[in-house]
Amino acid sequence: MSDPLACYGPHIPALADLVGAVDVESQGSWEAWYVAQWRAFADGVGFREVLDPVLESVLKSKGKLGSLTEAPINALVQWIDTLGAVGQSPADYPAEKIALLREQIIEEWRSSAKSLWRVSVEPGSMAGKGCVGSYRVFPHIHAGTYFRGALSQDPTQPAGCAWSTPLVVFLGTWPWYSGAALFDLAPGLRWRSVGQARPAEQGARVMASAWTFLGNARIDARDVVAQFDRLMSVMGPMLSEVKAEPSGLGSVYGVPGGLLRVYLGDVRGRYLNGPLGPVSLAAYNHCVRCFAAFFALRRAMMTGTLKDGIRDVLNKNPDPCVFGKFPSKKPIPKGGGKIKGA
Amino acid sequence: MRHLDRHGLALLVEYAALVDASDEARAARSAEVEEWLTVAYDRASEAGRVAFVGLVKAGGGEWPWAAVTPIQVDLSELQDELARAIDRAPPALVLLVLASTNEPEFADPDNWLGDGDEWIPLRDALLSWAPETIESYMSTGTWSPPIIKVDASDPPKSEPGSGSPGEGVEPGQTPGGVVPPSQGPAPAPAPAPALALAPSVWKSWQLWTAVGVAAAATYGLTRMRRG
Repeated sequence: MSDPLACYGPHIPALADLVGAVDVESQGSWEAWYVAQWRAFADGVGFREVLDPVLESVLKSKGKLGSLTEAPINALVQWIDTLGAVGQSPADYPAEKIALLREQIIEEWRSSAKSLWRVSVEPGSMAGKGCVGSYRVFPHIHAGTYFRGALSQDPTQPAGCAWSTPLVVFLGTWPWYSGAALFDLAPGLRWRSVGQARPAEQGARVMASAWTFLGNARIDARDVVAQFDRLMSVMGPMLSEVKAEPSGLGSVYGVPGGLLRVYLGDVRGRYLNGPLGPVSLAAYNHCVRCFAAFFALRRAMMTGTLKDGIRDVLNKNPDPCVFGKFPSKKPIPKGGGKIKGA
Repeated sequence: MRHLDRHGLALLVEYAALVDASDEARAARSAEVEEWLTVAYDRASEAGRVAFVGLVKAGGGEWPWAAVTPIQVDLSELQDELARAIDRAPPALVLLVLASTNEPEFADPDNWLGDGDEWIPLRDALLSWAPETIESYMSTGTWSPPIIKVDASDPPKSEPGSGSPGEGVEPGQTPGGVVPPSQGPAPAPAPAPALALAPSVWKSWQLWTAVGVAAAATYGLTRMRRG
């Protein structure tokens, strides 16, 4: 049987292999896989020591599914809140109002139940038009980024809150969600809680939803493929300088499309530099892992037996590789077998 | 404390060094330089954009290399303390120095410069464009003053911060016996980016140059001093 992921491109099956397989018919298999995604994320951003005891207690207590999905998010938010302020914000920077509005906007997006891997909205459609004073709630870059091409051909776009092009954010790879200047400390990791506002919780929820059946079923995979291909394409010249094997202590190595590593060293603090801005190895690896995890679970869903509710969502997904290919099982007699590849 | 994009500055140093390279070598990097300029322009403040366009227009020369060629400048009418003291630099430096502060999330926590005396050589190097000294402050993970090698038997001819930054520097060395730390993973050199901006973007260069010149004239911010 051919790999159903080949529908998304000949390079996608190998991408999915990076994070291991999951059996959708085994709750234990999925839980182990889900925990592995969180641990890899935590390794990249530096909160593994906080995450591990939380996961351990949840797993030992055989907590319900809700606990397993909620606990890492809560641990992440608490950890972000312990991080110090970064540099100096402008004196008039309205941090609390921005946090509140950011949380509100993502909540609204989540309630729409649409694919949130890549969100493109007209600024006027957002609460508060996405602005507090002269500050945008989400950074807005007109030039090309590592995740997408230029938003307009006119580089003389106004600064501040005079939005003139749609806002495009990539919540599937949150906390690196804009594609510009991929520093070690991701933009989303600066979303500290202020008062009742917990914007990082919203961001983390969207990111981790791609690792759940229902969340994954909602995502239009064409957005994921386009972002992955863009990243690989614009990083091509940089990645071509990276050797496939380590060349010495501290050397960076890896293959395009795969993860980058540092020989006997930490990826954090290490960067590739290109005209679109710096790319930290931690950011790059997180993005590639997000793409891989999405497709690994999507592959499992395309080949395994799903619950009806999830099948329905997948069946209605506009992604042509799945649209209309997963009709409800109900009319099929018991023992009808697994759904074969798309 | 102020923020300065060290990755962007590393590329500007690299591009500025290519100005004297062969036509073929420059042609191979032109699209990359254009793309970098678009990104730097996009992230600059309005004042930085206006000053940049004014400098490029006044300096003339071949685009995009005119934007990365060090020239004498007079930015004394700008408000920013560092920017207005720049005497000689590639026009694109003003895009980095006057980056927008409206999106703090793009401020790399490791891009903050210190205020002490040990930072004076870097400031001087920015004001008069001494790339070797600038590079000596770029460590793997952050801006940091270079480690000074002290050799009692052969005292340095000049102290950091005195005289012209970069003066008497041999290729591969820096003033005052400073040893540039390694730069971490090598920046991607050589081939033009696979996805350079569409030519139409830069065909509109004349248009936005005109816009910038008009703005520069309005604000009276920029003036070119041919040196």
